[in-house]
Amino acid sequence: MRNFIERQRTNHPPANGFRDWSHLPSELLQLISEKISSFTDYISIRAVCVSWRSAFSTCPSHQSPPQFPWLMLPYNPNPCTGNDTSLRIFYDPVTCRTFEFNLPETSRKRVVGSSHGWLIIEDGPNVSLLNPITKAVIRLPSFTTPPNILHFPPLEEDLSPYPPTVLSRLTYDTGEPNIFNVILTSYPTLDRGCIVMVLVRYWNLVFCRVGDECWTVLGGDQNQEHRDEIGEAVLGVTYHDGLFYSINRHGKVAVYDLQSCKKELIDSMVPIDGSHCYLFASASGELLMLLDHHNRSERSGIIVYKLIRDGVKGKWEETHEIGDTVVFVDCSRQCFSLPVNAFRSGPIGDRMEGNRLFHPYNTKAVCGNEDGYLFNVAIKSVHVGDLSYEKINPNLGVFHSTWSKSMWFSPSLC
Amino acid sequence: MARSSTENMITLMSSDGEEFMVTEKVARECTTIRNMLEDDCVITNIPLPNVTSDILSMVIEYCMEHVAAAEKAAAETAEKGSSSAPAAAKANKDLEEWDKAFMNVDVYTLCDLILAANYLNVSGLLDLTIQTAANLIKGKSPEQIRKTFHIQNDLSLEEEEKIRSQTPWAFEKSE
Repeated sequence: MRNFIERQRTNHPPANGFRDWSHLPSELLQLISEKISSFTDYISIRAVCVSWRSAFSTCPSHQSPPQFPWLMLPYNPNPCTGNDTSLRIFYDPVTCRTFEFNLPETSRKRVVGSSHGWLIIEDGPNVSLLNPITKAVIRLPSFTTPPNILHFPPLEEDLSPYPPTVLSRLTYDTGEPNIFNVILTSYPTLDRGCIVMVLVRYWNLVFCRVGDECWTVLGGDQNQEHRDEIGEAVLGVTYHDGLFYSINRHGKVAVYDLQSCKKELIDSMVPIDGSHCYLFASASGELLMLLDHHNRSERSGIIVYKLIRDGVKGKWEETHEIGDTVVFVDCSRQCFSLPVNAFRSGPIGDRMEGNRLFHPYNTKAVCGNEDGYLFNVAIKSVHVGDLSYEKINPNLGVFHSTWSKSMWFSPSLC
Repeated sequence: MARSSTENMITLMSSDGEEFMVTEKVARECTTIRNMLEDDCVITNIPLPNVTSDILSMVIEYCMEHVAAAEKAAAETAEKGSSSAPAAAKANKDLEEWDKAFMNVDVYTLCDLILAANYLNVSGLLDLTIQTAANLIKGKSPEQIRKTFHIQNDLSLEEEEKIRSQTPWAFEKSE
């Protein structure tokens, strides 16, 4: 009987062809791929050898933790000047690398938002999703197809005239975007029930599921005073734990459960004064609102409010504590939060602290030409506690921001 | 638990004919062997034609360490009536350290251990070895991965070119 406790381990080469990593059974390779948290590592393992390539599908079967987002830098898709190269530049703040992607699908078109690793592209009334990593495209319904209306009982009797005109009022020749904001509830290639919610011009919410023939307009509120003449006056929208939350100009917070057709309204007073308004949820599920007061330049210009709810009434209270949450805000009206521990297994590890938000901004105009002004783009990292901030990587370069804005983008293979 | 049942000895025989006598409790860490024992309780000699003696001895070493750690924790709980959180945390950390040191092996051994852990169905060891392999991949380019795991690049030039052109930026990792 040998003593296996005190045995010496030796560094030995393969004795036979058996222990060959390229011939590890695919179910075991699959287990390894499930432990891989970075999508770039997943791309690498698919490029090692023939058997590894066939063992791993293009989209990982498991959901890897979210990546630290990249910043998609502004570009000029102006169809009039005709010099759009379809090269799009992304910046990874973690590695400080920039990536140039050739995306003909976006040529002379406007990328109006991004969610779950997909860009949403507007081309006249046509809307599509593009994953710039995998180049996969998903066509969404056209805005010219008459929409459905989702009524929320007991507001079934809502016969207010505007919902059917929410989409028909949109115009496509002004060069202005019709989509202000987009939220995907999951990865559309992994989840057929993925909902695409968009905030469209005139401040209304419409949604579709991947594969739908038309958009669905959210049935309005009977009470005229809660909305404007032309629509719901929605300023911000977010999704958390199965529910959509929106806030409108009149302080009305709506909570939508699309699965069971339920809508709840909360009355609140909102200190909105012409500033940009964003909704998001903290890691612990609190509803938060972020206002960007551009004029308060002595601080970061940002104030975070927390909704204190009391039945159907609510109060927004300024807060300096959003817990283990990191928020990404950008110039194209996007705002989303991630729990700080989502980054633990990635290259950031535990170097990141919560209670922080990141947002890109345009520094001073460099020069102007016929397409408008050129700006430097930089990123601010703001501590929510004392609103102190630091600039990270102030030299991203000079960009147009007339036609598109810097936008956070969370790369994914799904 | 009846003490006598844990004292039963089982002989495991490696592919190269070496015999390892272990307690039934240690052998039961391998789900494959546990199932055999449950099907036929008088079995005392188990041939394992897929596992060499080198690797089998390591698997047994792993199982013994984990059984000992679990017994120690159970004894402490029985003694104090309840387990003390700091002591349990320390024991966990010690076991993690042990696992880490245990994984200080070359990639050939790691490959054999993955195959053996899978064949014998030792879930803790399979998880540990799979995680170790994933850690070796982290942040590497395809070429660096090939070097690490001694894998021949058998992709055709055309295929490699196609892969590179799809995501050229992914191959620019620092070599």
